Amino acid sequence: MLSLVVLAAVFHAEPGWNGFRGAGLGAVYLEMKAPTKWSEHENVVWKVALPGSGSSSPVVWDGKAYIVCYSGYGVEGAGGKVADLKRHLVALELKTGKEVWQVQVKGVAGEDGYRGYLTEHGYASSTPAVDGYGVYAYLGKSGLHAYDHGGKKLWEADCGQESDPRGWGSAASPIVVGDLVVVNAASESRAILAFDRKTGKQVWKAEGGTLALSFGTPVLAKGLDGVENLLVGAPGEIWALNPKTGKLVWYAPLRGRGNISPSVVAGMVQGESLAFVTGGFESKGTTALRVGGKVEPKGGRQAWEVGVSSYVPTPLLHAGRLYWVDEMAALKVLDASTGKVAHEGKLPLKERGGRSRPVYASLVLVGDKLYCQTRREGVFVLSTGEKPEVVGQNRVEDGGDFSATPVPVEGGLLLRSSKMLYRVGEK
Amino acid sequence: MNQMRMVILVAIACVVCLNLAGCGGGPGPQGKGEKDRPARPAMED
Repeated sequence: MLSLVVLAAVFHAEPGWNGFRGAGLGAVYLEMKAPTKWSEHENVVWKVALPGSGSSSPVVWDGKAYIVCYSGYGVEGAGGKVADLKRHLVALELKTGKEVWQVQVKGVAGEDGYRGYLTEHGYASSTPAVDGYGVYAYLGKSGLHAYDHGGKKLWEADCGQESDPRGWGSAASPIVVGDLVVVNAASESRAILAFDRKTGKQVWKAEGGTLALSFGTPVLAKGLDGVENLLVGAPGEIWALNPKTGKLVWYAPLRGRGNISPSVVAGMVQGESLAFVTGGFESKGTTALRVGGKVEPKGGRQAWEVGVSSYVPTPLLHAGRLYWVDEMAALKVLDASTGKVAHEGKLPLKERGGRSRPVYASLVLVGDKLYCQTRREGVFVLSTGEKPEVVGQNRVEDGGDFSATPVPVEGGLLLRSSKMLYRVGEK
Repeated sequence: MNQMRMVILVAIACVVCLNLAGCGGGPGPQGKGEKDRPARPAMED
């Protein structure tokens, strides 16, 4: 009987955070627990200095955390020569924070200069993906790099060396889809690229000029008809690709016609398989679409569209509601089946925003609490439901910028600043 | 004179607005011309 209980626990355990927003889990970790209170002196299990800056989240696998950093150029206004840019992939012991191995990859000629939006997020904004075979780090113009769990290089793949029209750099994260690793290389080659995860050989390329200024991570979703879509938001439209071939199954217009930074969110809502795309500047909005095959679903492709949006953070879908705290710290709760705004609020920040917006990270749901990482004023803990309330604000400070989405781990969270990585939780 | 002031004010507003939008980055090196690309990938048969 006991073994049955243990087996049930094993099979029901949520997989760890193995890619951007926990990959297929959409940043929803109902079975995990994290503290609602911590500070410099309370509930910090460990903290370690990182070898460089970055805005991406770590990923976790089998007792290790993997994180990408950059150094040598453009580290928080320190200047330097672009030729000195290096990106680092670091493996750390999850229990202690101790470094296990580290590799460094030099930048390439033609890296975007440290100006404009790049000063806001830097050169290590793509969260790696990890599976039983290895860890996959997308390093922009330096390409996609795969290492095994011991730090041995498996392969690297060229993803292009172009720049987006504004020179804002890369931000999308790789995802593992079956035997493929897929990247949104919109900046580097205006294409979604798929590689064999074991050999690094390119399997397909889905190219299109519309992809310029698309910064979101692709998301896999299945329609009610069983057809899988690899969904990517682009300025003015969403693409639904066949994940095995890269061919376009369908595409549809979006209200948001400007650049799209958040990732598409997908899930079941009242018996429908929906995808939600938000973003755009200055023509912005949020659109809900029915996913599936090329035959237009019953009720039409578009389920609803509204004029509110999040420009940077990706929304979170849970229990029929779409939540987000946008880049200006405005909280929105939408009914995911209708798009009706159920609640609007604002995090009580001291700073007023301005060009350097106060929130870049996306919400994470751990247990029954939402965690919102702000860039300079700590993590807000909120209740769920139609009207979330702030139940905590916790800070660890190192003078750095916290733009990475928090990562749920057993009994706590990993928090990444531009200087340090922290594990918070009960000791 | 008033028209000139208005033009200057509008220009300043544009610059401020673009900065707020994070549009301060200049164009980077371009590869293939945008006109040489399809707008989107080929449709599935």
